[in-house]
Amino acid sequence: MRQPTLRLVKPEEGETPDPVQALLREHFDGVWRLLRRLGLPQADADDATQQVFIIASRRFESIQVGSERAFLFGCALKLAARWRQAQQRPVQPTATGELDCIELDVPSVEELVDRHRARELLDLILNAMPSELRTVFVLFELEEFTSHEIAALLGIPRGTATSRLRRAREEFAKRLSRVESRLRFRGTVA
Amino acid sequence: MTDPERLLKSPSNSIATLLLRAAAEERPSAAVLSRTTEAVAAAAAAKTTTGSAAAAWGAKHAALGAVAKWMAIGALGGAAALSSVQALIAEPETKHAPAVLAPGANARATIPSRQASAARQLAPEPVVAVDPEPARPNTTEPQRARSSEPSPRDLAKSEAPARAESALLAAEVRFVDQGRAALQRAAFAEAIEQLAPYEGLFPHQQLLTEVLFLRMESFSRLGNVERARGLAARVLALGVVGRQAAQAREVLGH
Repeated sequence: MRQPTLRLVKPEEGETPDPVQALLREHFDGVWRLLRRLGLPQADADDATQQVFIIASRRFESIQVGSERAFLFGCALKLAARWRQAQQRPVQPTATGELDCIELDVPSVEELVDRHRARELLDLILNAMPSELRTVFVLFELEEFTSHEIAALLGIPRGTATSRLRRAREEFAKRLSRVESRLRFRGTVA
Repeated sequence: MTDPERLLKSPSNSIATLLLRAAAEERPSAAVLSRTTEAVAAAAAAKTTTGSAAAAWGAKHAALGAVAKWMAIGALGGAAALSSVQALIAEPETKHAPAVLAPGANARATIPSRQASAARQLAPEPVVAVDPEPARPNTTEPQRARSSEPSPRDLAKSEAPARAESALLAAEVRFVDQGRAALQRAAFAEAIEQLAPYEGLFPHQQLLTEVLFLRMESFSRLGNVERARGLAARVLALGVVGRQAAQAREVLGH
């Protein structure tokens, strides 16, 4: 049986590193980033990420070797879904959507170099996507899961995962092209 | 079936790539990582402590069970002897005394089942009142496995689990209320003292978050920053959000 014994100190040279701490180091950024892109504000993403690793440390014995990443991201997906329910504002895809409301806020390409502004715009586009497409898109494009891994993580057939990914990319491209057309209209894109 | 090329990896500087790169480069602050590390460590420590407390509790109650068992055997033995004596008194002229004693011998042979029924009579409700834990610690299992009959505690539990549970929750609420009242009176040391036996008294710990929070407040007000910080980390480890989480973070200095 695998025993989690988390320590705050660095292991001595030659000593076996703590497995939960190793998980924390390896996947902390990814789990947090996934939660952020699934719509959680920063403070909530901080708390939820913490919760993911607490759950992992408690259930460490039951996590199969090699599926730690899937376990952590699966937990994060569930917490994000629960967060959406608690907020009582499931992500509603809209034809016009929020994108139309931010016409004046669309940043220029120069401004997009500012990472913060770029992320704001990305979140706005993602918010307008149906949640099942958004999840697949973020897992594939940002966290670099394969469609096979996504299927396993979400418990869906691989064909469904591939189809969702295709639709998600189309949705993303469609919404992004509207932003681009506005940028062109403003004369900021050649 | 191959996956399409990721937009993130695209060599072009399209807007999509710019947006995704910005997102991929986003990192949580170091403070969040350190806080999470602390919280996970606290959770692991709490898990160990709870396990030890449960084991100790199990051992203690197994011993109490054994005492009750032997008391029951004693009572039953006494009753059997008394009935034999009464039988002898009632039938002084019977010439077949061994025939009268024979049921006594049978009674001894059937002691296990009678013992259980006597134990049921000896230890009914109070046993339920101190046993809120649905999943017992493993340490008590071998002892239960040796017994051929269900323990009185199990029987009593199956009879009125819902009643016992609600009684326990009510007791827990009263207990925590007393601690809270002490804190509101600014009697911080008293609040700490009041709440100290919580884990030992209530293995179910349905109000653990509240208790940890009240302790954190009390230690904080007494100026014991170290203890308050430890408790704050435990509060956050329980996944608390909202006002309590904000206060815990404040204590941790984040």
